[in-house]
Parts: sequence; structure tokens; C-alpha cells
Amino acid sequence: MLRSATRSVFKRGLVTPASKPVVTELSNGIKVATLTNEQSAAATVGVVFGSGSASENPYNNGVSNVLAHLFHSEGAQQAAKAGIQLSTKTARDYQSYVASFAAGSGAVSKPLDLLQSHISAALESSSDAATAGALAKTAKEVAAFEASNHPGRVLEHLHATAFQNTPLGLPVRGTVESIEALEKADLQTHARYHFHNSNAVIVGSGNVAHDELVKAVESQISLQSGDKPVEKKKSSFLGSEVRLRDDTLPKAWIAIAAEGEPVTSPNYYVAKVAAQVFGSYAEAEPASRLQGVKLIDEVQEYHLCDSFDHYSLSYKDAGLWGFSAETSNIHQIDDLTHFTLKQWNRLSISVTEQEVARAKSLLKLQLGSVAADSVKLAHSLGAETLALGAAPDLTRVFEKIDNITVKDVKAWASDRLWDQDIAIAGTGKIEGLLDYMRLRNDMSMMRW
Amino acid sequence: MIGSRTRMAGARQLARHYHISAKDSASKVSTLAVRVHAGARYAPKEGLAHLLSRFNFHNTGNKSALRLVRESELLGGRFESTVDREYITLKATFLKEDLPYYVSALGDVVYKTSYRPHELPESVLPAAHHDLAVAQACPVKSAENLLYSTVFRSDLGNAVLYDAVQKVSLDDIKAYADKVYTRDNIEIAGQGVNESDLKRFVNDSLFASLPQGTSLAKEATPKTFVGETRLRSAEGDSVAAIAVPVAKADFATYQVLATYLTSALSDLSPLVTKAKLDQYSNAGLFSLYVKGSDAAVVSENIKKVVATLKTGKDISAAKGAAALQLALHNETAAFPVQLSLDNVKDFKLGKFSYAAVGDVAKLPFADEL
Amino acid sequence: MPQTITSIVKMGDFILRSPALSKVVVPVAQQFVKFAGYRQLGLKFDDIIAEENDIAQTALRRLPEDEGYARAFRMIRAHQSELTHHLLPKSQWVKPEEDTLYLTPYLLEAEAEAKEREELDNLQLTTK
Repeated sequence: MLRSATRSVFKRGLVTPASKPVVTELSNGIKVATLTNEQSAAATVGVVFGSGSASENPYNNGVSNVLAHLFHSEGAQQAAKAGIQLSTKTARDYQSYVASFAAGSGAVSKPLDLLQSHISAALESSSDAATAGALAKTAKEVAAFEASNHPGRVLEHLHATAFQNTPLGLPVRGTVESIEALEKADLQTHARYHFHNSNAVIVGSGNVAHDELVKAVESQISLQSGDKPVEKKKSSFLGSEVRLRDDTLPKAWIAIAAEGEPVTSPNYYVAKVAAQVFGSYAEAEPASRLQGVKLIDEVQEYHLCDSFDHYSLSYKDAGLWGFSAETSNIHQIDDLTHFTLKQWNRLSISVTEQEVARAKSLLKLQLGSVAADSVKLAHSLGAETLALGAAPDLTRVFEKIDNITVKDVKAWASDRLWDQDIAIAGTGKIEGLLDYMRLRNDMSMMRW
Repeated sequence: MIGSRTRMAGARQLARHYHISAKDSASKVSTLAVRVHAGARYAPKEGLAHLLSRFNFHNTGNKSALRLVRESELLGGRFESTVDREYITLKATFLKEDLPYYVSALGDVVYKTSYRPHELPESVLPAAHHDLAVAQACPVKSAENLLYSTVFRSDLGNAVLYDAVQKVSLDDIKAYADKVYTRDNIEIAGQGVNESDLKRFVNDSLFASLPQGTSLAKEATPKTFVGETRLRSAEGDSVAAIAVPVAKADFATYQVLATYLTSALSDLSPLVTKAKLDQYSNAGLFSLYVKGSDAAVVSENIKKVVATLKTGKDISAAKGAAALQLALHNETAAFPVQLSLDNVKDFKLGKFSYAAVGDVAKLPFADEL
Repeated sequence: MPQTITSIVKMGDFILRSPALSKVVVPVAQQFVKFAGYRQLGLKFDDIIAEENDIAQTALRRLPEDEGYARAFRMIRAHQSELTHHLLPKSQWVKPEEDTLYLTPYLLEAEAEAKEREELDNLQLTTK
């Protein structure tokens, strides 16, 4: 047989120690987490709250998204003058507000001021005009998202059906209807309930010193004290489907997922490796067509889809493990789903050593690639600190991934994928998307 | 084509001279970028640079494209090749410990790509067509291309993507590759890479076999023109755009201007869809785009923007924001941009070129602005 | 074991390298070609290699256009001759020097690609 791809010949030891995330918990309950990169000329600090769209309810859905827009509209003028760049991210489990600035001693105070003033603005002092402006802008953006971002829309509906009637089912951005119904008081109530010391992490990334940030936070940031807001309801997965058939669209977009792993699960990385076994594929990229994935060979032979992407999404209570695909071959959607799900079956019974090794390497590449960009890093650092208490050190994560074996993947897949319920969402020309039972039947085999 | 043996002999004797830079970091993932002065402005036929870029990472004398992908995914790495007006950039992103493999792989691509005849119709052309289709679906991109060809005509004005207006043959691609892949014409940069390691591995790779060549980079200021173009198009929204050629000395002003116009400091920012400065070795182009689904609104907005810019403005307030943008850009860029913004003060719009795309009947002409 | 063009070419090269073997085999091969009679129908050897498989289809796709047309012409002419139970006039017979292996290099490349893909698909990782 063939020798493995020249790995041993070219291996070289690490020379530079990787910087690790540092977390300090202040006396008032705020956590400060930093991941320093001294080479950067810029730095990013921010505040991340452990409440995103999953902490909303159907009546104030989208409120986090509006608050993010308010942050931009209120703070933009001041920030631009001070040479600060704002960025926000609203997710299901968190919302983050970060400010990037040119690194330098004492430079951290201005962006922190800006963050503090936003938080107070959210709580009470924002003007009616600014609130109305933010509401209108958010509604417009959400309308544009719903009209043109079909893959994104399918993913939202996948969550909506998989976690129906539970918090994770709410769309991250909100809907046009829910946002139009919001008022200033809704924003304030939400902020008052969630913007607590115990629910916040101050993050720093790029060229920012941990001690300096801790000191500055102690003197400059004051949030409401109080207990972590209680989540009323746990999210749970329900096998179900939603179809938004629209034959006026040029293609079909579909997504299918089984229940995945929550962030805290010991199998978090196993699920991620399993998703990377199939990875992603784009027909237009020559290199993508050459990947060593059996599913891609089948997809290509019959041109079953234009692109697909496998993922393992994890949240506090639950997760989704599945794939999204875009196809212009609308008459063979049945083949696409059949072959894909049959390949998923293989995870339980015949996934190979080589496939798992490939997936592990690609997962490491994916996780390591985030690290250079201080803005992205700030968002993820906050999210991880909130979910796990402290962001995991990449070296430890890589060790964990290295230790995953074929047996682990098979065990996980037999438990979580084999003959399990699925959630299905689709839009565009999906007449060919088979009914729920036909698809569900492909999650296992009578014999192999 | 130059015989590979003569190339090899010549190269070994010359002093080992490359443009290499490296920045080590604690990151687990490294990137290696090879930047070649081989963009559209240097290509004798339009689209040739694009096809050469798309030919990268195909079969080479040492390794087939399939083997490269399969080995690389087992190590945890990916490749991409991009083309613009100035450069073809080959980039590899990989786990830190695999640096030697990726240096050798990139060297292989640059020196020994075999340019098999069947690869052109089977793999390169479909990918190139896809790039073109994506670009043509974007009215802002169309406006940008029109502005470039108006302002620079040839050279920087050459079309980047291959549209088969000028037929390109495999021999053209081979000849162009021989011309541009020379040691003086490429720069190698590593991020998260130890510099002496990188130099050593480069010396051991096929990069060392490249002929010395000369840098094609142009220094003389190109000729520029003023004009306007209109393109009827049903593809997406309507766009009205203006552009100003920028001399090297004015890069700072226009960089700050671009930030100013897109930040909250300017009242125009809600109207401006995009404003940017593209920098090249001997010139730049500042361009500004107003986009909208209703051409009448776009028309009104572009008039307002141009009228305001003509009155002159103090833009120095945006210096800090512009410097930060550069710093954030440099965090992830393989080739950092250095620009001193200290002396920036006022800006007043003088002569400009103009492009209208979309529902042009409702968009203004240049003399109406 | 199914024979591949690669293995046949390899065997041929081996025979030609050995003077003793080629002394025996080459005259036999020439007789075989004569009795096979395809040249009298205006065909080249590469025209009669089975083309109903992926390898040959890939090779044919990559054949330069003029070669492809010439091949089609020869085949139609041969069919017509067969149909009418005639051989071509002697002047139109394919001469030995015209009987070139125009398709074989493409077949070899396609086979090499398929073999490499097969190997890489069945890669075994060795622990270091």
C-alpha cells in the first residue's frame, strides 16, 4: 500500500510557544478574558453578554439585533472621531459589542468608555429618534435577508423547525413583523434583564495587556449587579420538516440535520470531526472536486449539487449536526439526499482511518485560522468564556482532536446519527425533496 | 520554452537572491504567500493572467493536482491562487509544523506546472467562466472595471478576467509563465513562520531553480484619461460611480478620504455604497460607488455626493480611523500596507471619470454632475 | 488479470529491448497485423482498440480535433468497405509507417490518472 503523505519526512518541531487565553474574575463578578497578540498594531476590546436570540421570546424576537444596530448608530460618530472601529455580533447564545483601536499604552480607556456609554444608552438614555432609526434599519436588513439570502434563510428555518417552540428556534435576526412591533421599552427591558455583571465577559484581543485591561475595566465599566438571568425553558430537538417551496427561484436550497452536541458536551470535537469527514464542496473550484471524500465522487458523477457544507453547530443546550446544499439539478434532489444520508450511515459502520485523519487535520486548520483576526477572535473568545468558563487553549484542543480515533467517531455516530430523527428545511424548487419518512428511512440500513 | 535543465544550471550559480519576508507568531496556523508581478497589466492578452492564475495548483512535473490535494488535506492545509491588476498571488494556509511541505509545493507549482493541453478545457476554463459569471452578476464590479478601462485604457485598464474576447492559447499561457515566474519578479512572505527556516526551505525547494529574471514592476507614472462610460444592464441594481487616478504621493489623502466617506464622520456615508483606494506600484485609483434598486434615487444621490466633494472638505478627522483600518488589515495580510497618514488635511474633488451601470436612462451623464 | 494498455506497452518495450526476443516476436507480430487485415480497410491499430470504457472515452475526448476527425473518417470508410464486402484499393491501404500510435499516449495518461486515483482513494495511513 501507499506510504502516508510525506508527513514524517517533513515534520518540524514548534519553536514559538502559543499565547494562551487568560481569564480573571473581578470581585463584582465580571470576567475579563484576553488573548494577546503583541505583534499586532491594533487591539480589540469588547463586552459579550451571555444572552442572544435564544434569550428572547416570540414577542421581543430581534431585540438583540436591534440593540446591535443601536450600538452602531449611537456610537459611530464618536468612535470614528477617536479612530475606533465598532463591530457587533448577535448569535443564539450571546451578543457581543467590540471596539477596535490602535494599540498603545492607555489607549484602552476610550473604547471602554464607548462600550460603557452604549450599555447605559441601551438601558435608558438612548434618544427616541435613535431607537426608531435602529428599528427601521434592522427591519430593512432583515427584509433584505429574507428576500435574497436563501442559504441563510434555510439554515434559520432548519433551527426553527428542529427546535420548534423552544428558545433556539427563534431566528437570530428576528423577523420583520416582530421587529416592527418593538418599542424603546422592549429594548430597555431586555437590556435590564440581561446586561448583568454575572452575565458578561469583557474580552480583549490583539495587542492589549491583560493586567492593563483588568485595571481599566475595574475603574471604567460598571454593569448592573444581580444574578444571571434564568432561562425559562430548555431547547430540545424535534424531528420535523419545513418547506418553503418557491418555483420562481433559480435553484433549490436544502438543509438536513440530526441533533448534535451542546457546547459543553465531551463529544463536541468528535461531532466536529465527523462533520469534517464530509467537509464542504464547491463544484466551481477545481481543487474542491479532487478532495478525498467518497460523497464528492458520487455527487460529481451525477452532478447532484453545486455546493454543500457539513457542520456541527453547538449551543448551550443542544446542537445540530448536518449539511446544507445548493443545487441547480432540481430533478435529482432525491439522489442527493439519499447518497448523502447513506454516507452518513458509513460514519457508524465503515468510516476509515484515513478519512478521520483527514477530518482531524482540516478541523485543526479551521480552528487555528480564526486566531489572526483580532475582531473575530474577540467575538469567539467571549462566546467560549461564557459557555465554558474559560476559552480553551488551542494547544489543548489540538491534543484532544489528535486523540480522537475511528472508534470514537463510530461510537458517536451510532449513538447520535444512526436511525435518529432529522430536521429538514428547504426553499426554492424543492418539489423533488422527498417526504419526511422517505428521508428518515435513509438514516439507517437494514443490512450492510 | 526554456529547457528546464539550462534554467537549473543558471540558477544554481547565481547569488541566492529572493524577496522574502516572514513574521513569526504564536499562531498554530501559518500562511505562505507568493506574490508575482503577473497581474492583468503585464499580460500581453486580456484574461491571460487570469488563466495562468487558474492554472496554478494543477498537474506539475513532480505531482499531479489530485495528489497535491490529497496530501495537503491529510496534513491540514489549503491553497488558493488569486489574480488582480498587479499580482498573481499564490497562497497556502497550513498547520505550522508543515512549512517545508508547503514551501516545496509552492515552488513546484511556480517552477514545474506541466500545462497539459486537456487541463485547459476540462478544468481551467470552466473555473474561469465561473469567476467571470460571478463578477458580471455584480454591478459594482462592472462599474469598477469600466472605470479602470476609462482612466487607464491599457495597462491597469486591462480586463482582469478571461472573457474570450482575445483568444488565449495554451502556448500563450506557457510563454507568460516563463516570463513572470522568475526570482526577481516574485516576493515570498510567511506569517507565523520563522524567517531563517523559511529562507532555508526556499533554498532547498524548486524556487531556487527559477531563473533570475528581472522584476516587471513598473515605476513610471502611467498615462491617465478622463472620460465616461455607460452600460445598460438588467443584472441587479443600478450603480453610478466616479474615479480619480491617484499619484503615489497622494495615497495617504485618498486612503483617509475612503475611510471618511464610509464612516459616520461624513454626512454622505449613508449614500455611499463603497469607496476605496486601490494602490499599485506606480499609481492608484480612488473609486466611489452609489448603488440602489431605484436608478432615480441613485442619480439624486450621486449628484449630491459629487456636489459636496467639489466644495472641498477637511477630512483630517478620519486619520485615526483610517490608520486603524490599515492596522486591522495588516493583522491578517501577508503583505502589509505601510502608509503615513500624518499630513492629510483637505480634499477637494477636481476632474473625475464616471461610469453608470444598470438602468442608464435614469442615471445622469458626467456633465450633469 | 485484465490487461491494460500500460501493461501491453510495457511488455512491448521489454520485447524490443531484448534482441533475442524481438528477433522472434517482431516477425510474428508483423504476420499478425497482415492477417488481421485492418490496414487493408484503411484503419490504424489504435482505431480498433475497444473504446467502450471510461479510460478510452477520456483519451478520445482529449484527442486533438484533427486526429479525431481523421479517426472518424477512417472508421466510416472501413464500415462502408465491410458493408460492400470490398477491400480498399491498394493505394489507400494504410502503410506500416502510417500506422502510428496516435491514441496510445492519451490512453496511457488516462490509465495513469485512474491508477493514481485508485491508489489515493485506498490510501493506508502508516503510523510513524
